[in-house]
Amino acid sequence: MSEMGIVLAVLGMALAALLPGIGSAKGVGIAGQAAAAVVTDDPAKFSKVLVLQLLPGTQGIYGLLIAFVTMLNIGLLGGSSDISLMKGLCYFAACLPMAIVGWLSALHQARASIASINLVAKKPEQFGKAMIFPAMVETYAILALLISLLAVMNVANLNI
Amino acid sequence: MAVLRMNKIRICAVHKDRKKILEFLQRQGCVEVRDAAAEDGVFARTDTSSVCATLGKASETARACSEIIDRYCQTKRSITGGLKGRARASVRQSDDFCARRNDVLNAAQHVVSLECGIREAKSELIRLDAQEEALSPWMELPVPQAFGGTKKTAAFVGSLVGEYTPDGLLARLSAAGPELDAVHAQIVSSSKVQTCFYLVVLKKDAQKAEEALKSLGFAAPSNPSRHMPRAKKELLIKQKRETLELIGRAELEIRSYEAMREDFRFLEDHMKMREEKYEVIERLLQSKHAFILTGYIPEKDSEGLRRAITDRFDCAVVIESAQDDADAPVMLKNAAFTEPAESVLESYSMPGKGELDPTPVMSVFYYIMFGLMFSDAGYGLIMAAACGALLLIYRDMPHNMKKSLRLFFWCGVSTIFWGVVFSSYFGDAVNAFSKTFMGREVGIPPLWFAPLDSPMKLLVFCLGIGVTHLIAAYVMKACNYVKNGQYIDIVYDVAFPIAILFSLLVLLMGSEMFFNMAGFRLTLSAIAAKVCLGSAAVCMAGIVLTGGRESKSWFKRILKGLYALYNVLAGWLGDILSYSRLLALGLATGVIASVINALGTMTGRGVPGLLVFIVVFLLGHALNFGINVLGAYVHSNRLEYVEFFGKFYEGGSRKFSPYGIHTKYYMIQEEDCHV
Repeated sequence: MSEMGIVLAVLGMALAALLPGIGSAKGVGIAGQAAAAVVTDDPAKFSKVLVLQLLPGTQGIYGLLIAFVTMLNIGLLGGSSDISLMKGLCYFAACLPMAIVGWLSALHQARASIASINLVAKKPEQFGKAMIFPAMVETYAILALLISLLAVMNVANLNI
Repeated sequence: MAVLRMNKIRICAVHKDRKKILEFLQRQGCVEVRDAAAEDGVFARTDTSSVCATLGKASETARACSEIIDRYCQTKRSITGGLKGRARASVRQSDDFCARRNDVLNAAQHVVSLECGIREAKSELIRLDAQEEALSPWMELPVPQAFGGTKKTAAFVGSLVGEYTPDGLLARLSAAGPELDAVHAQIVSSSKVQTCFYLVVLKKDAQKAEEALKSLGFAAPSNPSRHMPRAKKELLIKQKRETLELIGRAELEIRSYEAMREDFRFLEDHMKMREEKYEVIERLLQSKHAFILTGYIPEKDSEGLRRAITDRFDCAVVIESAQDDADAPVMLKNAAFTEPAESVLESYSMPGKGELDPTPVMSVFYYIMFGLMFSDAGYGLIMAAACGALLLIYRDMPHNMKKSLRLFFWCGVSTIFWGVVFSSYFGDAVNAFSKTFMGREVGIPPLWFAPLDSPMKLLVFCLGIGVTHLIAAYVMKACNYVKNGQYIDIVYDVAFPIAILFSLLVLLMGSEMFFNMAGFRLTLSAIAAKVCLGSAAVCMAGIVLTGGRESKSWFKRILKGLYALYNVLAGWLGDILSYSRLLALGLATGVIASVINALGTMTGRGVPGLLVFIVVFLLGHALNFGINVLGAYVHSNRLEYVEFFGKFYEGGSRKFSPYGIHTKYYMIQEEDCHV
């Protein structure tokens, strides 16, 4: 059964890269459509709406980050990959906050981004405030990142 | 270092000086003109909106003209063009231009109409091309397309869908109209799509032939010509040639105006300035011989302007304090180090009435937090060096741009600092490079510790920065209360929450959990712990009693007080934890950078490996830089707006926006003196 440990750990790693990546791709995609519509009217707003479009893109990066740290920790990039079943389960569970929260928060952040893009289209001087609304959603992705990161880095110290 | 004092200014002068006074004030750019007081029998306001519209249109024409010239003369547009700032022009230059402005405007209108002509000619060309294309299957037609027949015969020129032979066509026709006889059909061209032909029948059969053709789906050429197809084609070719020549001539003529480019730019600015001036004129109170201007002026400029204006013109200037004026606009003045953060404040809100300018405190935390989140000495160096170089090269760049670049310069410096503290130079590039290509791992030791070795320690540090930031917010709140004389509120709204926080923090720092996270702990004696608990309880009771002090009924007051206590406790917990993003984003920068370095060194040693490393390094770090600079910027703003401002800052005032020269290309300056 000991080989199941690494399987579970890799599964968790893959989910951490997969779900937030999907969420971010979709989020940046729909926000991009709204941004393009604004630029049709006023090309000068390009840089502002670009920032807003990119905001839901960070979850994908965070997911990649967790996936990579997991790979380093479970020895997928060299070193020993001998992991007990229990540790494998722990890695799997540790990846879940980032995977799920990253995925869903990217989608919801994209909606806030679109609303903010519309706001900037009408009132470009309110860019500072417009940026805060999507950033509020990102808070939860960051919290999930933090928990996943600390958990993945500390599983190795467990005595199971 | 704060909100500047504002004065109200009133200038009363005679009509003949109006133009000169207004233009002088425009060049000084330190008075915000506001609507004058109510009209009376003598003084009235004038409507200048139609003049403003005309001037706006003229400046728009000049702008369009400059754009056309740029397009047709293939001007190279440099990326750094926006950094150069406006050229300087003297008042005399501006006055000289006034004499020529109508000529320049006419020229601009002419250029715009030429370009309009070119656009029309181009769509005409497309139309002619389409006609020629439609004519091509008819080239062999021996009669004009509009040919209707002779005295005794009727002719039909047109096409059917599909490919037909002459016999096939006649067979279809006789099937559709059996009573038709003496039909002559000649196929002009035939393809799979359509067959073009003409048909001659006796005049008496014309009706029947038409019906038969219609039932087959016969289509006559749209817009049939009276010329023979070959002649028509030549005509079209001639028209096309003429149109092309027209376009060529117009383009040449537009290019001949290239020498006037600067004039057109000046015209655009000139008209914009006049438009702004007429907007001000609308706000004046005017009688037959005199006018009154009312507005705001910063106290520091007041005396200088009064002297300058009374020296030059015969007028009365009244200046009084606007301290009690609720409408007075706000202007900020800060030291060079903290000033850049004003733009962050402005995009939130300008300080409201009776509020202090939070920029000095905010800016320091902004730099610190940005640096912690970006936290890489290499990236910081690139950012600081790029901003510093631009600031040195383009000294005349627009003020707002200068502010932003200075903001990022200081953020870059802070990033370098934190990068050195936590030993991140393009992530672990030094270690990765030396290990792969030099065979021996060399690293730069951190000034303090490596975050990946003890992330919990960094988390505690980040939360500590958060606590400091939040306490600074409460101190700002206390300062606002002091400014407005609400001393007792300081105890209720500032001292109680801070005392609760300190008591709980001290208790927490004595706990086992804290020791596990931070690696040190306070040793509390039993009495000290009891004192902490006691003071926390007293302060909590204090908040319950005073949190709802504006309510008269005690029942309501206690309920509101309990809610206030809940807000304070939940607020402390949520706000402090929010600062964990400093750690998360800081780690993200470093770890992604390490991922890039790991990818770059995967191909191993040797020249190919080095080349791969260089490519991956450049692309990867550019991407990481972009993503993290965005994250650091957005989340520094968030921590300031939500956590910091949320504690004490309301804002709501209008920004001081003086009447001045808001032009694109030229800055008109006084030759003799500056106020």
